[in-house]
Amino acid sequence: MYLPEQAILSRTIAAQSMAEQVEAVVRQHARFVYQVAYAVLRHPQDAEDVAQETFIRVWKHAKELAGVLNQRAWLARIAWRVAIDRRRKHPLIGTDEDLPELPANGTGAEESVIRRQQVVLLERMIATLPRELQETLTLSTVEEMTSVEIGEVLDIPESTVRVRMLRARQMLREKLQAITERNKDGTKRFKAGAEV
Amino acid sequence: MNPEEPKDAAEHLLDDRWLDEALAHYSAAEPRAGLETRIVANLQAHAARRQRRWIYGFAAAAAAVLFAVAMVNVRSPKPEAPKNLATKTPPSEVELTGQANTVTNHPQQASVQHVQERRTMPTMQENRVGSEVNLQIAEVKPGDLLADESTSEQEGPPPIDPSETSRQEQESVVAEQQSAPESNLPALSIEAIEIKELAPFKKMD
Repeated sequence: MYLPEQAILSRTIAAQSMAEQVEAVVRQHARFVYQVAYAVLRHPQDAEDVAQETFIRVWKHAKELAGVLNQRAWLARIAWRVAIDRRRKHPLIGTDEDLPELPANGTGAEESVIRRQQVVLLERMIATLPRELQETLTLSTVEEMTSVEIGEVLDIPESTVRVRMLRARQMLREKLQAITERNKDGTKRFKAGAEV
Repeated sequence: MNPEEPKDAAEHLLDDRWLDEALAHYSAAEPRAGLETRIVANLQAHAARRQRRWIYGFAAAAAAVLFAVAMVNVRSPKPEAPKNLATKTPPSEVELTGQANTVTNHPQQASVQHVQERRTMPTMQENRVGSEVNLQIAEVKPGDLLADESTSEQEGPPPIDPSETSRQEQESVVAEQQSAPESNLPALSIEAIEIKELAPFKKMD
């Protein structure tokens, strides 16, 4: 006989196991979700908020979790959508407060500054790309994200992801060359002016 | 071979390396320590908040239902016990109604017939009388009744019985009709009685 107490008990056990499942997913993929969000928003606090929101949504749809084949892609997709929504509501405003703190040592500080300059330059160059190339390239920068997963997130075939990545890289290279040549010209002019 | 080509190739390589390096660092942001713990704590708080919201929602719905039931009870008509009492025909009248169809030459009997037929007439008029009695009874509050009971034991008249009042009314009408001149009496035919019966009653109302 199936008593109401048994039903309540089985529900409680199911809820507990579901909570445990979600907790396990959080422990395993929280960093990855944060990085997806950071790739879109470029702000640590916003990325953390998006990660929180993503896992709340996961918790709401915890019943579907068992049937998900690729959890990483599923999570990346949710995080991507949440981040895009957030960026739509609060557009990017870069400030000096967003810059990471510099290490105290000389060499480390120099490296950190160079890296920071690199990233800032890359951000500006990516911002000039067409939207679909921007999205593909941004997701490809997230650690360990394959082109299959990117295709699942963006709902496009893997081949399209590869083509877009090639095009995006090519365009970035062209932009980088243009910047380098402009710098060279500037240096030559500066040298010529000094000789005169 | 153009001497510029190896230089360009080297520059391309440099650009590629620069791009790879920059892209590798692009999303290599590490979250603050304890991100997982914060997320789990937030999830637990969210679950508790949601559960509390369900409980409050259920309580609010139950309160709304109770309030609605209470409002329906307040606005519904009064209990039917006094109405039945008012519309109920006293046994003495029932006996008399059996004689109402008989035609008599005596003016007293005719006048009694008027009253009896009027009292037993199952029409709107009877209902109106009943509702008037109801209104009179409805105006008396339970507290007043208790007070009356307590005081009636010591002093004052006993509570009025509706059957007694109807009987008093009946007697007073009979007395009025007896005191009236005989020329005002209706003709002693069945048709004449029916026509005249309705007319004085309307005037009385």
